[in-house]
Amino acid sequence: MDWLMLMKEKNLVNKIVDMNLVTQKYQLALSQEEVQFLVERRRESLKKEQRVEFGEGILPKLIFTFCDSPFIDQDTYADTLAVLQDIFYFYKNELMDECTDEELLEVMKRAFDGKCQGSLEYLEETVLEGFARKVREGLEE
Amino acid sequence: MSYKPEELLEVVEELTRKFTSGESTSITYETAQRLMGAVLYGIGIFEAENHNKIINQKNLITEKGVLPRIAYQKGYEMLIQKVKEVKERYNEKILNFCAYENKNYYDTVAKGIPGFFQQYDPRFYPQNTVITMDYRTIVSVGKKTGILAIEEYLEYIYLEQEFMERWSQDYVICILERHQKSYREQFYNISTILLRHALGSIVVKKSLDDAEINAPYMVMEKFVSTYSQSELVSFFEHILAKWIKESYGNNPDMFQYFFHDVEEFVVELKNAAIYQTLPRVVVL
Repeated sequence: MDWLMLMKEKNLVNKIVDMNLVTQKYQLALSQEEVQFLVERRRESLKKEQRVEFGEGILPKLIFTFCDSPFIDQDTYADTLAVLQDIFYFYKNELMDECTDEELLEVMKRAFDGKCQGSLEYLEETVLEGFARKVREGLEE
Repeated sequence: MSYKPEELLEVVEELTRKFTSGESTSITYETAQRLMGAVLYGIGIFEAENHNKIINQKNLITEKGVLPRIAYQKGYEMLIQKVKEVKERYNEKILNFCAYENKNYYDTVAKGIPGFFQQYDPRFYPQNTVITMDYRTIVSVGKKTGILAIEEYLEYIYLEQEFMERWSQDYVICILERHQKSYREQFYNISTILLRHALGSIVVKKSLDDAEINAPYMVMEKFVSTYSQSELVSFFEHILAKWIKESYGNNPDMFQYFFHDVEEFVVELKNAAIYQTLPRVVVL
């Protein structure tokens, strides 16, 4: 799938850097190194989950969705985004693409800020696991 | 004209956006491969079907040839038209379709094919043949897939139907029952039974409309034993061509189709002559 990985990473880096203009009001910003780290992590995560992303991908939307979370601060910002990104791709597969990006991001944000109280582990292994099971059961019916 | 994967990327991206309705920024590898397959299938149709008419239009070609986006779009339009034409022809032909009480023949052609037209996805999965075509035709559709496979398969079925219409239904069923009482539950090609009956009857100079059981198998055995395999193939090729012309007019497609069974028929005759099991191979 190498030919599919030729997706416009340079444009993505620029787009994410531009997102700092939005997130800085929440005292959050990504350095160039952190952006590169996230782009690299995106590539690894997509490969691991055997997914292909096109256009600007989910990262800008992820940043926009979570930048106002009370459980994210500058120290944990890049690492949290990296894990959220991993969780997102994992659950797109678990949900068999039955949820749109918007729907999954909404579920993740609501749970992260609510029940999970900022715990990525609880989000991934409990809340989203239960959600995915319900969606799959609904499909089976 | 073959395109590099990078050249097709833009077309695949556009198709992916349609596939996800813009609601997802990523898809699985499997979906991506499938959509790439859909693009290649459309371009394949374009390149095979009269594309010369189109490439004469200067606005569609560059120095490197037809743009992949144009090739795919034109190919897709041709694909839609082909599906429509194949379906219309099928709807016309199915009215007179007879399975001669063979369940597999009926299930495949009268039930399976409508299922194909209901489920076929020319936009996102045109390369999917959908059904398994359990009734085996004498000639296989080979590596063809999707509507191209179904189109070819149906043309073979129509040839078989035209071939067997020469006889009454009762006659065909009688021959099939003589071949094997349980033919109704079997999965072989039933037209070959009639073909072999016709060829065998010509060899032993028996009337083709006479289904009586006093079959001169000894004449057939002597005939088969006298000639080599290649001589028998040539002989049957000749009489098949002559007989089809006399019975069906100038029909090269029918000859070409049924000729594909001759070699196998001869091999079976040769073995049957040795082990005196000719009635299993040919109904006389």
